[in-house]
Amino acid sequence: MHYNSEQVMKAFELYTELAQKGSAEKEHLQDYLADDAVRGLVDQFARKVDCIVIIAGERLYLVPETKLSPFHVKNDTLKKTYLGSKATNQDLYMMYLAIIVFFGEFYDSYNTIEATRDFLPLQEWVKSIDRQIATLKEHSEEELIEYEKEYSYNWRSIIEKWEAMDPLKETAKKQTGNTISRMSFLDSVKRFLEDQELAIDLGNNELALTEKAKTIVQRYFMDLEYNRGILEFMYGFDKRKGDT
Amino acid sequence: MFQYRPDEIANGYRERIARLALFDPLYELERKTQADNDGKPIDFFGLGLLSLLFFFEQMLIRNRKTGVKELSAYLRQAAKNEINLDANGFENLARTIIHTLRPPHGKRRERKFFNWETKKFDSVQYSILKADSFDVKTNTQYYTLDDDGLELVFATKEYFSEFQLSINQLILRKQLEKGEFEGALRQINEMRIDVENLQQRIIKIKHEIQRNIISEETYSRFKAIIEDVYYRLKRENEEFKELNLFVKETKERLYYQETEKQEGHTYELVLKISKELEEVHYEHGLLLQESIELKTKALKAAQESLYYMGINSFNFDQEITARLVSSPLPLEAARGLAAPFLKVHKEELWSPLTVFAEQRIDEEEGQPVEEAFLSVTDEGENLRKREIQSKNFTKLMKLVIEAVRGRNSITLKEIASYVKETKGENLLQHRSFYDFFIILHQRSPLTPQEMPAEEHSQILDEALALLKGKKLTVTEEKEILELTDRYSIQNMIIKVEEI
Repeated sequence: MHYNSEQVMKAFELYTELAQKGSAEKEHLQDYLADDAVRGLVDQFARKVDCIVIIAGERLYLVPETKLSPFHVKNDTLKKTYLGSKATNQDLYMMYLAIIVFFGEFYDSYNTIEATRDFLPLQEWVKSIDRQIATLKEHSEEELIEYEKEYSYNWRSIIEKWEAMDPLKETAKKQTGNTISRMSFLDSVKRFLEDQELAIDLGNNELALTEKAKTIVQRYFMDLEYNRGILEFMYGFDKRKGDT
Repeated sequence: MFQYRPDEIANGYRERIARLALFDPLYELERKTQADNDGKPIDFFGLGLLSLLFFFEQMLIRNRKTGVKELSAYLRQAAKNEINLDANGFENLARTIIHTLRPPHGKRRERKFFNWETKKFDSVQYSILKADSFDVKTNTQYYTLDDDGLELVFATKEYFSEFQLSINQLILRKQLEKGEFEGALRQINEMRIDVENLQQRIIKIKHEIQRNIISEETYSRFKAIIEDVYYRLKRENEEFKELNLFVKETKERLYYQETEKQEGHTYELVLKISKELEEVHYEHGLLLQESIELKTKALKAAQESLYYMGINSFNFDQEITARLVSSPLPLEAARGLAAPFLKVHKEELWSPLTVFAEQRIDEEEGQPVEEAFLSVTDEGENLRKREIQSKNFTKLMKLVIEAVRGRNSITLKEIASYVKETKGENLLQHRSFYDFFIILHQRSPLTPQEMPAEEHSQILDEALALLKGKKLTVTEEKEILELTDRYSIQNMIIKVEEI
């Protein structure tokens, strides 16, 4: 297909806007909808960096795909920006786990595709992670060591990490100080989520989802095609596990 | 003879249950068994309803700062003869009620039931109260009625919220005709809530369209909803125009009447009504505009996403979280699964050409200029605050001297009751009152000459000048005074001696 330079530039502008903000509005949306060439180009650009473009109402979203992609935001960047200079990969993966648990808490029903809660208190979040860690501990030590051989980061260190953190002290007034407690760790994850425009703080340490977050879950995770991709992604790991 | 249609009896079963479920929180409150200090059981059901009405009233007067404190103050005042509890007891009561209306774990209130229309298990979710804002300084959360909460309040008032605005318009017209202008003003405020409620509903619909249009069926459902909203707004808009005209006529009529009678009160009231009505009308007009936009743009955009095929149900917790930890998948997978929520990578580059670019030298010479400005304004604000505080303290010192009247000592308790008698309770609600005595106690003994170079020194200067050759000694007493709901302070004895 031949593109004229105007179309290419338009597509490029639109892509840059998306890459910078994660979403684009009205005028850009018009360009995207009206011109098949622009649309095709933007989609291609996105694919190249393992992302997809989703239309949701009056907005366009650039959503990174579920994948271990070199184009996605770098581990180092995340560590440096959100977890402090001393953070290790364990901290980072702890954060990933916390984020996944966070969304699980909002979408935990087969009866409705809407979120089942309006907000998640930080304490509930801690409890929920506790539960997941408990599930992890049910795997036998040997089983977990077996996985470690295959991958560089292991679940055992995550379990240790979490258990080494002080559980919530009910009497302490402020949990956000320098002592590493579960609450203060989740406080940094909270700041990360806020920064990514995924969560809003309602006060009282209660977190609610933003429209962006809801859109990603309902338009990406619940999309027939992408959902299949996500399942395949997880299935791929299971298979590798079976092979060894 | 009419036909008997057993299949249609259960039509709309879900909506009916949803409406019934709204009352659940009140019944839940009713089941609570707690007694007051006299052992009398507390009427939780009633207090729950009162609280709902209280929040509604706060919305009417457009007060957005209603939290536990405000509710408990209201309940305490409303039930002071009926329920024997202290301030703390009422605060706990208010907290219990708020927690029931807005569960602190964040899950929406839910009612599970068997749907006799579809013959399946089903559930409805609703939210009565929501967090409105948060004051970081005092760590207080403020609440307001959510959509369903308003519905509940309206449901106790014999008509439904969809017709609320029209009905209010009708009532307003009747009131204007009868000349009940005070009531009319309140009616307009109710209309304002209706409009705000509509506004929220439209935003909600907009968001839902954004996320939920997944099939032709839902598309046409939303289309119908939007059409409905549009026609309703249009009809209401017509009525608003007529009302405005009517108010204008009333205004003119009154103008001529009033000049004969030389009595301006009613006329002023009508002027106010006309102003407020126009405001509400304007807000409403914006909504009409928005609904048109919704009809054209949003729906069209949504049509695009019809290509999208959604799955009917998805449980993130089960399918992603549980899968990750129970398989378990390698830790790396967590990164991949979290990826969709993150922004894409941004490379930050530095060009060597920057070396030749214009350099800013001034930054190296100490502080940047902006910073200096900031601290100046900061200082200015502090100074202003201090000035105000200093005036307050002078006023308070005058009161103390008045209260002493020739005696040589007085307790804080006596001062407080003196202030209450002469100046009313307002002064006691003010923080300065307490600051003043705490500072007095800290700096005791006080003489007019003393001028230490401390932070508070200038603040008290003027107040101390009033002492004129007297010396104040302040000592603490054991008793704690609860002067208002908000403040309590230890009792003190203030001695006055001639030097």
